[in-house]
Amino acid sequence: MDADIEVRDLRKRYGSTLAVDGLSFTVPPGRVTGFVGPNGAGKSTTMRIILGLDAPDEGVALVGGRQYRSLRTPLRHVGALLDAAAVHPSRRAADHLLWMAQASGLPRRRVDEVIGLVGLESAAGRPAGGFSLGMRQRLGIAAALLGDPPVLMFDEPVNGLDPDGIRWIRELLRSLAAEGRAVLVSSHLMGELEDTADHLVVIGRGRLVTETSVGALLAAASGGRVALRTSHRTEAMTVLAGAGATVAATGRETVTVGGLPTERVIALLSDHGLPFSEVSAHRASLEEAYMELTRDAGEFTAAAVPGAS
Amino acid sequence: MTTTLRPVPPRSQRAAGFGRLLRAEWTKFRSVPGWVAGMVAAVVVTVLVSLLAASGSGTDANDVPDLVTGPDGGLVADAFQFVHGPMTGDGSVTVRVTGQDASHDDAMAGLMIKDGTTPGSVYAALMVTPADGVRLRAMFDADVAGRDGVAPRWLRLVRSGTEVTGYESADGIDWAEVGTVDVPGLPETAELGVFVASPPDVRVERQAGSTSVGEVETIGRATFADLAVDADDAVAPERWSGTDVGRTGTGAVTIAGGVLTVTGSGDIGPDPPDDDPVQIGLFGAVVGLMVVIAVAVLFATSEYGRAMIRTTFAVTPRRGQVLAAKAIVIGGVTFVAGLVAAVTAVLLTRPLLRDAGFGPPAFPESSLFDGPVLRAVVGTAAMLAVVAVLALAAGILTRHSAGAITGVVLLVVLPILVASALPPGAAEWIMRLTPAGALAIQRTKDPTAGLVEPWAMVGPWAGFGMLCLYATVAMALAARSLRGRDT
Repeated sequence: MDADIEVRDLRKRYGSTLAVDGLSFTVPPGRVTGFVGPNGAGKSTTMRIILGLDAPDEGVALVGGRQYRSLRTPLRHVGALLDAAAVHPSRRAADHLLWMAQASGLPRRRVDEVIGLVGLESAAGRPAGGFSLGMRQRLGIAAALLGDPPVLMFDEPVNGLDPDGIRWIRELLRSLAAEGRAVLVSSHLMGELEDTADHLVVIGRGRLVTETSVGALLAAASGGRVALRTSHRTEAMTVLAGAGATVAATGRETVTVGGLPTERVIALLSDHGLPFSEVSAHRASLEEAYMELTRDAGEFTAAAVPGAS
Repeated sequence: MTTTLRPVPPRSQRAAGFGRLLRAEWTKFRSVPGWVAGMVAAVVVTVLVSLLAASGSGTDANDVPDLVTGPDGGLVADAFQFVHGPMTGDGSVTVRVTGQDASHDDAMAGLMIKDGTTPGSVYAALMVTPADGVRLRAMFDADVAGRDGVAPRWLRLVRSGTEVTGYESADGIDWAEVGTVDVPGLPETAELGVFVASPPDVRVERQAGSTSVGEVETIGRATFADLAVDADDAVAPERWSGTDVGRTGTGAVTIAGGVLTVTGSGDIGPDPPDDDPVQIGLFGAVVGLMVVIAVAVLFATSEYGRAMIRTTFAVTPRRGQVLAAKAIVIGGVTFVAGLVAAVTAVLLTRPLLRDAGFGPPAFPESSLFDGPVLRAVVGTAAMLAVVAVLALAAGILTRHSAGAITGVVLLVVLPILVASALPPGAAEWIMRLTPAGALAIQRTKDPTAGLVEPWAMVGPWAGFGMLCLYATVAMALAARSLRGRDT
């Protein structure tokens, strides 16, 4: 079985809402693919369709070339973390994993192995209802890893994790991909994926915005802009705009300049006797690139403006 | 992440797959302490409420004067007008019943051979009835049906040892054998003769929570001609005498022109009290049932409360199989719990009920393994199990705990309340058409309208069958709703 996910011409409507609108993309093996888009863009819907939980109105979603519902023991093919809260609160964590293992014909020792993998040994015998969100995320990840599947999907796995947890999951995702697995990670915060994903599938309003590598996206977004720090911000902006640049104030003393090379900016400022403390080529963050891409694609634009990574 | 798993071998994958699913659903059930505690509570509540019901019950069935007991020690009715004389050894008697009043559907007129005239003694009788055709009966429980038809009718009774054979004929020429019955203990010299009986009409009035039963005497009358006895040693019919067996006080015998006219009242047959100590001992199951419903509904709806169902169906995309596994697990758990509760309740209530008057002869001793008792005990467990499956399906269909619990409880309890306040005919139909009638499986006796419990009006299997039908339909609807539904 090939380790990949293939989504073709997927369309899904809930009542009057078109959640997914002709979406196609591929998640190749050996890489972490980020699945990004504002809240409501259709990420979770797409993942539910891939898992055979919701039926698409049109199109197909294939895992290793097969429809999920035709898999006899799906956990051995695809592991998924959809909703970390989907655990019965009085069931012990180990029992939650045990029934999944039993239904998939996996040995009991595999439960202990994945508990060890996610570092939940000390909590395995406790009811999952008392878990913090971070611990539940780890439990959900353990469930996804249970069948040692070649394909993995994580829906917002970083939610609720502390910085140590975030670092841990990034390393986990990278190592899973390094083993040759296809890994799809969704997030509405592009920054979360900056150091993790190799490949990006960006969607908005149920449609594909772009499917690209992280490097290419950053290069495109930086667009040869210049970052400037000056105590005379207003005057500097007037002078530069007069020379045909696009200028945007990004702080009390900072300005981003587009359309002019660095040397020309320095020359103009010197000519007008305007002091500046810093001029550098602007390095766009993934967050900015993403905002530019999804500016028109978000249902909930406010929610799509994240704080920082 | 270096662990590699060998693929499952493809041997009988389908059965293996379902077996895995059963184990998984059983793990799901046992790993939620509240559900296990709920099942234990259902057992405890069933036993406690049964004890409560037993300690509040009593009967004076054994305090009635002149109790008549049959050969097996149980209470019997044995009252009729008998015109008879002794016969020693083998022989036969023939008579033409020329007419019979339709005083009661079960009125009897015909020939009898009996050990004396003491009520409760062994007998065999061949008779015509207004509604049940020709019957050959013996020992208060044997009943062989002959052909349909009413008087006039020729009847012949032949004794050979303790075996008695009946024949009947429409014209006295072509005879048909009705059957042969064994009458153990029939003495060498027995009373032979003609008899007439007519059971009392039973009138039942039901009002909310109370039932009153009244009996109105009916008087049977029949005419006999062409009496002939063929035996080595018997008193001739002309010298027979009349006896009012069971002293009903209504019997009379007249002879005119070779025609014998006999009038008489009473019934011949088993006559146990309607009260059923086994049912009283299982009464708590009605309350335990509600706990079972709650647990079974939660076993289903908890999947939806936190979108657990997505994990469940991601692990096993075959949704119908998941539903089946869930039903088997909740049904099996409930059956075992129900069996423990039923056996415990019957055994613990038994001494209480015996002290309260539920003893022989009105209530013969019974073992847990007697057919009807076993049916009631195992049937109670089965009824609880099927109700659990019904509740599970309701939970899947509604995805709403409180709604499903309320709905199923009402489906079982409401018909009981309504039927208790209705006249017997309507009440019986409600018991036939709703799951509440399944409580009849707890009875060890024949259906009767004479008890407060409305389910006593239907037979054990009629009510249980209807419950199974409800559960089957609910499961089919649940399976269909799962098939296409987005989670």
